[in-house]
Amino acid sequence: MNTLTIALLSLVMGAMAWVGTDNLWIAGAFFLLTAGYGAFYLNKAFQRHHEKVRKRHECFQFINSFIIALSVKKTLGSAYQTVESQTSGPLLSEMHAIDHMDTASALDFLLQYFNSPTYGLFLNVIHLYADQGGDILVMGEFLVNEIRRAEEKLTLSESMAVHKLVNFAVLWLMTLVILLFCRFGISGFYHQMLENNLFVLMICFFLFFLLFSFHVFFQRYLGKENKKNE
Amino acid sequence: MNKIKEQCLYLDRDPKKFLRQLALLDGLMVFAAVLLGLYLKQMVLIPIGFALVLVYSFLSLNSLQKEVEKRQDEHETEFIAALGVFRVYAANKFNVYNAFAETRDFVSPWMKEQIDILLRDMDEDKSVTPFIHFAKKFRPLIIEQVMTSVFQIVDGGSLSPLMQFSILFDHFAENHLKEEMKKEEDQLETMNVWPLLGAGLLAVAIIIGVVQIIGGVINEL
Repeated sequence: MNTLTIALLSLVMGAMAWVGTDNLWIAGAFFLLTAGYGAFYLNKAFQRHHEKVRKRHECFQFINSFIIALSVKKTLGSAYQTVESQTSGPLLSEMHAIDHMDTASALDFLLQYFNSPTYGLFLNVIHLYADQGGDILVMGEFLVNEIRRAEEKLTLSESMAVHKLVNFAVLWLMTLVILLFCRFGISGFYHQMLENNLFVLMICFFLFFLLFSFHVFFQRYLGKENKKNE
Repeated sequence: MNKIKEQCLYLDRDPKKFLRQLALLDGLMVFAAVLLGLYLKQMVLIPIGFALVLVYSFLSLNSLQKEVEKRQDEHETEFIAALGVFRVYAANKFNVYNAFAETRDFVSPWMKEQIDILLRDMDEDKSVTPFIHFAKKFRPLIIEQVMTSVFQIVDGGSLSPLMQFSILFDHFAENHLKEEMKKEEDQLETMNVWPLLGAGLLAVAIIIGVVQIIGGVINEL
């Protein structure tokens, strides 16, 4: 979630508060509330989530590529170099930073970067291969199976969450259209209703409920992601 | 009552403490309703208080049941993660005992405890019993089959029992993944009720506004 999206959503929320209550103070308060929530909570939560998902993809990709490269090149050093040449982004920077290490130490060091039990298991398989030899494709077959299953789950989960978020947002949009229709369709009548403090309070509560519902949605999605292990 | 006790014990809670808390809150609610009803001379508050007690008790017991189900789901996920690791070691010529011992490093504290018990039982009993005992801690019956096939690896020692175990395990893991995805989807799907509630709130606000205007007009007449 970038700054532009947060600014846009805050503006929409402020505009809806202004349309609903005809009060600039309330509109300003909702604008600030949304902006604050977006900037101080949501933005960070999404960054953490994306970082975690990216690292998991990188980890799966790295393990897969390394096992294939090792089956062809037969030595850890050559396999590592092959994978390095295929890697990009933050992982490549990390690999460049540990270029001075020998391959076994570099592989061990990457455990800190990935911080994943799957990578730990991969390291054990690699140590086993280094000690006893054998066919790495056979040795890593079930590990690759586990990775495929985890990757499948991650991808499905991500796409489903986006799909549900769109559904949820569209339903809220339709609810907001009712408010817009009342405000501009029966403008005179609406202004008379705005003279009633209880009505204004109810509109404020409605807008707060909207914000809270998105918070719950993101909590369910991001909270669950945080709990998931690989 | 036995069911509540079982559920509390499964969640590592003291059943007596749980029931005492529930009874105390129920008693307080009834007491407050009676007191308020007598003080305000509104006897209708007393049955309302009793109704609230019933609703609260139902919700408390229901949440206990939900918590148990959630914990069971978590344990199944942990089982799949653990047996996934076990399989990697078993395929790399570790015997069953050593494969489980190595698996301990990659699992949650609860699963680690269960594996420790399994390893201890395996030391004392060379039959299938420790594996069945381990499987009994999980809900799906297929786990018993999976663990029996793990025992066959010990017994047979060849690759074919491992393949048999793998087929069973993959089948279970795929089904579990589907179920988990369905649950996740359902959980997010329930969020669609919120915009409807929002529309309801808006309707109530408009009704309040309209009634006030009509009231004002009637007063002016």
